[in-house]
Amino acid sequence: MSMLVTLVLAAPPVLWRFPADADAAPADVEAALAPLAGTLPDHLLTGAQRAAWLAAPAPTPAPALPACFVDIGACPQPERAALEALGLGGRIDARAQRRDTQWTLRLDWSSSAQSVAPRTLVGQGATLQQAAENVVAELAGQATVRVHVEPASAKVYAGAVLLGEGAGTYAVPPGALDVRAEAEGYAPATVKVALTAGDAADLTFKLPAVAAYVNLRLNPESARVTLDHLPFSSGTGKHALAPGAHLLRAEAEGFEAFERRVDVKAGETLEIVFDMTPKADLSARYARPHPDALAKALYVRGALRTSRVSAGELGLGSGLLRAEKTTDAAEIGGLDLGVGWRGELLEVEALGLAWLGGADAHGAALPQDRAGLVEDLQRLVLRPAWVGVRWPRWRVDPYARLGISAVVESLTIRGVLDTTGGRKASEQTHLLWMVGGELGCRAQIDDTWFAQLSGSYEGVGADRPQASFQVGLGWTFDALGFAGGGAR
Amino acid sequence: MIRTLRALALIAAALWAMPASAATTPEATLAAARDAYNDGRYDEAASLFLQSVQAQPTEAGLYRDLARARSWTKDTAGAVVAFRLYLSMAPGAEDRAKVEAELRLVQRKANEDPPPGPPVIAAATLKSARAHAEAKETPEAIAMLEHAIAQGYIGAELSPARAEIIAALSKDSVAVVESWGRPEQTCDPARLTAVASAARLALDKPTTGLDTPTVRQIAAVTQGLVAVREGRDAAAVNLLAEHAASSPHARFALAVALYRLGRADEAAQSLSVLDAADPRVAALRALAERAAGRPMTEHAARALGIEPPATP
Repeated sequence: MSMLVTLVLAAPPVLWRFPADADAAPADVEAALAPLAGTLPDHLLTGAQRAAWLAAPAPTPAPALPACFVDIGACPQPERAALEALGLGGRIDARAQRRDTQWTLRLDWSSSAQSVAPRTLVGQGATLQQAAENVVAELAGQATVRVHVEPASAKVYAGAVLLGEGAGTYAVPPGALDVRAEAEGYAPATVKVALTAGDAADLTFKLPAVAAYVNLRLNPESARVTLDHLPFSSGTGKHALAPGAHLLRAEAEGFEAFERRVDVKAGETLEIVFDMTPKADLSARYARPHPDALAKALYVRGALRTSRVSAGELGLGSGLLRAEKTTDAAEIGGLDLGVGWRGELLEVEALGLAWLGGADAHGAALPQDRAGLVEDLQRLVLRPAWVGVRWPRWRVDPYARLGISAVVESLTIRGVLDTTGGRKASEQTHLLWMVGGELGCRAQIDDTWFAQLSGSYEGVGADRPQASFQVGLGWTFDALGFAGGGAR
Repeated sequence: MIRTLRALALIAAALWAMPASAATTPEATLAAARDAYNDGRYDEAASLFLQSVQAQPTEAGLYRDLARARSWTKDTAGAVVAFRLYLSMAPGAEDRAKVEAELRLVQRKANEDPPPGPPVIAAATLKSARAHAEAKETPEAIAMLEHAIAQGYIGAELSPARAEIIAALSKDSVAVVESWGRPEQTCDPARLTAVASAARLALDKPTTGLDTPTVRQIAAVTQGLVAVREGRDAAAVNLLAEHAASSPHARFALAVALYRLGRADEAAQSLSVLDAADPRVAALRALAERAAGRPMTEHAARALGIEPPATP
């Protein structure tokens, strides 16, 4: 904390004006006040004082221009900024009013500092002269503190009374005072002063900022970060900044700029993750997987599946209802479910299960060249531990898997026994082992869901192989110690 | 000796063959392009005609010149594009039949048949530039315009694209300069800096063709206002002096910088044409007059709202 207290003998002069919108003529008001000018040494009360001040040579060095002359700080009342520029501490407009036999002299006092609230002093008397003496006595009985404070947003108090915001010349009652400056995000400061009437004290407060922090995590690490459009950091880590609202922006070659508005309180540390999205340049986009595609390790999926079972050797049934082979292919459809694990390049579908049915009756060759039919063909397909590879690029995730399928097939063999159409049937169930593979592509919708399209072939080394097409959805998750590598 | 002569000859040849990159005006570039074409340096001619077309995208004849230069290079598909653009931009040209015959000839030589209109990829980039301009994302618009030109965009749409970017920049500039020094609030420093940076970016990218008097003025005024705010008064004077007439805010900022530099007479002169309704103008004028050794009475009284004392 830095404070400087200086007692000064002379305050900046205060300009007096005598507006014409009052009961008494401006000249009369000025004439009533003029004899009292000696009690107000820093005031330009009389015409002669004003003329002398206007004719005075330029001070050396020239006073600094107010901040609002160069647009640093708002200037809601430009006339007060003009007072400050010309070296005046304030302005008093004096107006007199008469009610019956009573004169009221009102002084409207405006400080040159924009932040200091105007105030009014009133004196009353049977004559204008008496009213003037009363109000000047009150004005002369006050002390002033000229406060310089950083930051400019600091509020200034005398005891519990708010004097104003920022730098300014504040009128205070004489006596011992605690003058305090406070601003959000800064440590408050208090200084004790003892003033008598007419004293002016210079108080300078430089409030130390109580820093706030952001803990930046950058992806990519090369990202440059700006704070409120100014360079801030170029690396992951903890960085100090002034408390309050800020705009953080990260930029990196080949990535979309990323902005975050933050409001950080003094002493607080905000975790900020800039996981930047590569720009929509196709070559850059497909140069690596999207984080969503690697976000979670496990999945369950469901798909609608349609399969075509080829004609081929069957060898089921007995006697006249023994079907040596089917003569037509069959279309079956159903539901396909799976659960598995996906790494960055490898994947294992721990278990796949499909039920397929709904086939039309199709031809079968029965003994003695008789015609037969296969009806109600159903397959329950169990695929344990199919192993594969994947190659995710952006959100597109092609994959291939291989494995063994256990197929439990049930069907009904029906033979045409005579020309009248009488039929007999034989229901059969048997187990087939097949070697198969699947080629497919997933589209990672977000960090949890994906859509899937794939084709598979099962039947290497088996009769009546099946070719299938699946379309479905999957849901990813982390569990049992399996976690994805691309989490945001 | 022979080796020295050979070296000199190589240097001379290199200078002779060097593209006229130093040519900075469109006229000089065009002249260099025609010289290169007439000398049979077709690659160089094509490059320079491309620059000319991009600098003057509504000049139909330049597209024909570019097409002819390209037809002698490996870029026959580019020649087809340029011939077609010429024919579409000058449908009633006297040499239409001849150019159509040239187009058919080069089409037979070309391995591909490019789609009608400007080059597709560059046109998409230019479209993106215009979209950024419409969204007031001027730096992005400038970058995309530069990219489109680097991709070899040719077509009349370059002109409206440039105009839209300059219009977006002007609109931003007017808004931010008008807000400078307003009583109720300061202008947004980030916005002021952003406009200044965007204008600077436009000037720093000569291939974009955005180096116009309007953009130069925007750059000077916004950078000048930033300089005044930052107390870099000498820089502010350099930037604002030429453009003070463009805005009362720029003139006032110039006067502030001059006054702080001790050039009070010039500050008073600059303020003399401003309306003194704002007490700050009158106050600064008073200070400048006093610093210049003249009475400040009249202007100070106006700034303070008092009657000037009667002259003895």
